[in-house]
Amino acid sequence: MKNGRTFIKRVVLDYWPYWVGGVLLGILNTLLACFDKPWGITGNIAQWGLAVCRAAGGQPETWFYVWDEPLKLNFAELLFSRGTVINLGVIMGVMLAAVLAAEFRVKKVKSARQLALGIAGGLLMGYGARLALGCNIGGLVNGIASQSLHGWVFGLFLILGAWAGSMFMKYLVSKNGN
Amino acid sequence: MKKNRQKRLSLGVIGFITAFGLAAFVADKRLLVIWGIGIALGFVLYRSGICFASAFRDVFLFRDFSMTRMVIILTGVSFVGIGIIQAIAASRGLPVTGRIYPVGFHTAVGGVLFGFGMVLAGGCASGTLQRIGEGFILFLTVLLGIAAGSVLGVYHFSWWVNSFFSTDAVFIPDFIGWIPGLVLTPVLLGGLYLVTVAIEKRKR
Repeated sequence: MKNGRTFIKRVVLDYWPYWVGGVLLGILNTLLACFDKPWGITGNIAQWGLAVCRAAGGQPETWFYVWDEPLKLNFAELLFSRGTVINLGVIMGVMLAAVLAAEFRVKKVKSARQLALGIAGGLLMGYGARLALGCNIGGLVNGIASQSLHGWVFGLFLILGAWAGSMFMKYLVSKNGN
Repeated sequence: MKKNRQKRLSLGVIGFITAFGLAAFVADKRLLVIWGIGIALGFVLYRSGICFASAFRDVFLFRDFSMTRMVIILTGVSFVGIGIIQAIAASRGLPVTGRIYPVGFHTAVGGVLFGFGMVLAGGCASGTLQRIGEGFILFLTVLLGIAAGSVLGVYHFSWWVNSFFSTDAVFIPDFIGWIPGLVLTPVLLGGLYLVTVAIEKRKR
């Protein structure tokens, strides 16, 4: 009983080592691969953007693109699509872990600079992920794990971009402080 | 007082998870399993404090490779799992599954932009979902940014593919054979792992 208690406590309250997280994510990723495709995130976010675009009168269904899952531009259909269920599941899984450990807090935006960097970073990530056909997970991890050359190429240039971004952030901090 | 609030929050979160799970089940039975896997992914991401952006950024800012090694481990485990699924599919004469996509100049540009963007925002795509789940308002705007940038990316995609070099998906075993492919990926991943260890050792 006591041992069971401490085990649950360790699972819910302690931070797990990175390698445990990596192995578990790899197993879950494989499970997802048993259901059609391994894990990916940004393809679904793009479809939400296109659904909004179509609701506003655009015709994104005529744009040529290589989709990882059937293009759905109707909000109800999109809500119960595989991609949305995974993404919303990740958000709720994080929230569950945070509230169970009594660590959930609403955190406000700290500054205008943080907001601007966040929006700019988001725009670049969205644009880049669509050009490369995947993000860190769908493109890098699962591209390489699926033995697709695009995963390695994406990773190589991702390192270059991250280096440039790190230098840019260093410059910003040195100029304006934190 | 505070404890009560977290308890109420927990009940709310569990209630939503149950309700959406039921709705997903009604829409398509398989979605309930996918929902469960998604929640498990989120739980693991939070409890192990994983951040893909820091796997690349911290290398340059702090010479810290611990998260980089997590990404290598994750890729290795996924390689084994997906490789088994691919081998089963191939032995039955079915098309090979996974994420195998066209590669070209657009892949390189996409990689640079994505890498730069995730350092600016302080989190990549999974990190954005993760921080939304933790309660960061900022990352709701990052998510909107990703969606807007994606729309533009899809719109421009054909231009990039048609104006610069691009080729159909390259599945490595199709070019070098299955056995060399099964050796090459683990050797490269293992080599990268050892390089991160060696660089950190030299630092000390």
